[in-house]
Amino acid sequence: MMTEPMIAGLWTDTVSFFGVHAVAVVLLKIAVVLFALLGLVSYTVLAERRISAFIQDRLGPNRVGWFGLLQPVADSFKFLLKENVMPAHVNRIYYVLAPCIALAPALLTFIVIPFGNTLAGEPMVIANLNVGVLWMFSIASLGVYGIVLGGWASNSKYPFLGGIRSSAQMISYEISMGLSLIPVFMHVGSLNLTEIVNAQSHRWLFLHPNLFLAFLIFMISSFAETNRLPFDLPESEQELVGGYHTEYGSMKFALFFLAEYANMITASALMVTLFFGGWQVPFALPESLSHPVTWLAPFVFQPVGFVYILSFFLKMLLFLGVFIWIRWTLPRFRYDQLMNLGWKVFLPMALANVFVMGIWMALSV
Amino acid sequence: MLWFVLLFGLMTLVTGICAISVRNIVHCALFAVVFFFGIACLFFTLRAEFLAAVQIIVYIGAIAILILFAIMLTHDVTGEAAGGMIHVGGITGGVVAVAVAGSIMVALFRESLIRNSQSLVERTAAAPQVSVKTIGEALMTPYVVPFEVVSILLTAALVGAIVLALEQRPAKKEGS
Repeated sequence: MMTEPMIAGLWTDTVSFFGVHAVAVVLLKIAVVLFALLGLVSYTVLAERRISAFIQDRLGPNRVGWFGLLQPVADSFKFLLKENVMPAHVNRIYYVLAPCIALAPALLTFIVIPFGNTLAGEPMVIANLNVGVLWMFSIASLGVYGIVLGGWASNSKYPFLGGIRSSAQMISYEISMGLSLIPVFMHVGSLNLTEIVNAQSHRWLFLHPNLFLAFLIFMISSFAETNRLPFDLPESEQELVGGYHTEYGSMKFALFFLAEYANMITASALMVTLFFGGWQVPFALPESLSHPVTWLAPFVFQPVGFVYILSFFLKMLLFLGVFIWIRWTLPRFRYDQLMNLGWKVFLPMALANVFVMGIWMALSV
Repeated sequence: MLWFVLLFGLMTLVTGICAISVRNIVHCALFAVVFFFGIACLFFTLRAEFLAAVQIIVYIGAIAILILFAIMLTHDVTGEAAGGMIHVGGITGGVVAVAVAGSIMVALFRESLIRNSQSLVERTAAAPQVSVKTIGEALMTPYVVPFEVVSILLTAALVGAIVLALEQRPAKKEGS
C-alpha cells in the first residue's frame, strides 16, 4: 500500500512542519495518556463491580490482591488467554473490524481534553484544537459504527436489534447533546476547550442558571451516548441477551467492554472540562505550591502542575462514581420513552435554553 | 504536507470509486464513510479544522449512519439483480458530474493557480487562521440571504418528511 518514500516523506513532512522536539513531546503525551486511560478503564470496571456489590449488599470481587485490587490484572489475563471463537455464520471482516471501530473513537476523543495547566512549560493537552468540542462530537459520532457493524456482522437477530436500536438512539441524543452546549459557547465565546477552562478561573460554568440546565441535558444525553443504564437499550440483557455483542467472546468482547468504559471516562472528563472548571482548583492554592520551590529547582517539574492534574483526576472520578451509582439505582427506560424524552423533551428544552441565553446576554451587555 | 495531501487524496479517490462500483450496498455505504473521512482529512491538512469537524459530524455521523440504518432494514443487500452502470440514469449522472467537476476546476484555475505562482504548501501556510467566530460573522452579515434561503429549504424538507410520516395515520384508523 504505502511505499517506502511515501512513509519517509510523511515523516519528514511532519518533522519539518512541527519540529523534532514538538513531535517527541506529543508522542510522550500520547503514550502517558493512553496508558493512564487504559489503566483507569480496568480499575473503573473493578470499581463498578465493587460499588454494585455494595449497593446490592454483597461483597464483590475481593480475593485477588488486597481488597481485590489485582482483579483487573487477573481479568485481563483471562481475556487474553481465552479461546478466540468466531461463529461460522458471521461476516468475518466486519465482525473483526467492529470492536476496533468501537474502541478507537473512545480513545481518540480524549486528545482535545486539557487535563492539567502546564508541566515544565508544556500545556497538558495533546492537541489544542480551535474546534475542540466539534472534534469531540465528530469523533464520538463514529463510535456508533462499531455497535451497528457488530450487530449487523453477527448475522443473528438479537445483535441486529441491538445495532438498530443503537443507531437510532445515538443519532437522537447527539442532537440534544450538541444543542445543549451552544449556551456554553455563547457564554465563553470559543470552541477551544483550553479557553473554556481558562474562562472558569473565577466562576465554574454550572453556577450560571442557563448553563446548569445545559449541564443537566448534557449529562443525561451522555448516559444515552455511552449506552449506560437507564439507556442501555442496545445491550439490555433481559430482552436481547447481550444486544450487539451477543455473538462476541474473548478479547473481541473485551474491546467492546473497554470502549464502553473509555466512553464513560471521556464523558466524565468532558463534563468536568465544560462545566466544573476542568483542572481548576476550587480554592486558592497555598503559596508554597504556586511558587517555585527552591529544593526542586534542579528539576523542571513544579508541584503546582501536578496539583492541577490531580484536581482534574479527582473531579473525573466523582463523575465516574455518578455513572456507576445511577446504573445500579435506576431501571431501564422503554424504547418509546427513550425516544420521547430525546425528541420531545430535551430537544425543545435545549433550543429554548439557547434562546433564553441569547436574551440574557443581550440584556446583560 | 504535500505527501499528506497526496495520501488522503488517493484514499478519497479510491474509496469514492469503490463506493459507486461495488455490488454489495453495505460495502458501498462503508466505502462512502471512508470517502467522507478522506475529505475531512484533506480539510484538516489544509488547516480548515471547522470544515473537517463539520464534515465528519454531518456526513459520517448523521447521513451515512442513516443510509446504513435504511440498508440494514432492506432484505437483499448483495444487489446481483440490479442492472449495470451503463444505462440512462448512469449516463446522465456521469455527464452532470463531469460538468460540475469541470466548472469547479475552471473556477479554481482562474482564481488561484494561474494568478498565484505559489505552491499549495506555501499558500496553506500563508492562509489566515479562520476562527469559528469569523465564519459565524460571515454567515450572519454578508451571506445572510443565502444562509436564510438554505434554512428555508431545510425547513421545507423537514415539514415534508413529517407530512409523509403522518399520512399513514388516518388510513390506520379506517382499518381498525
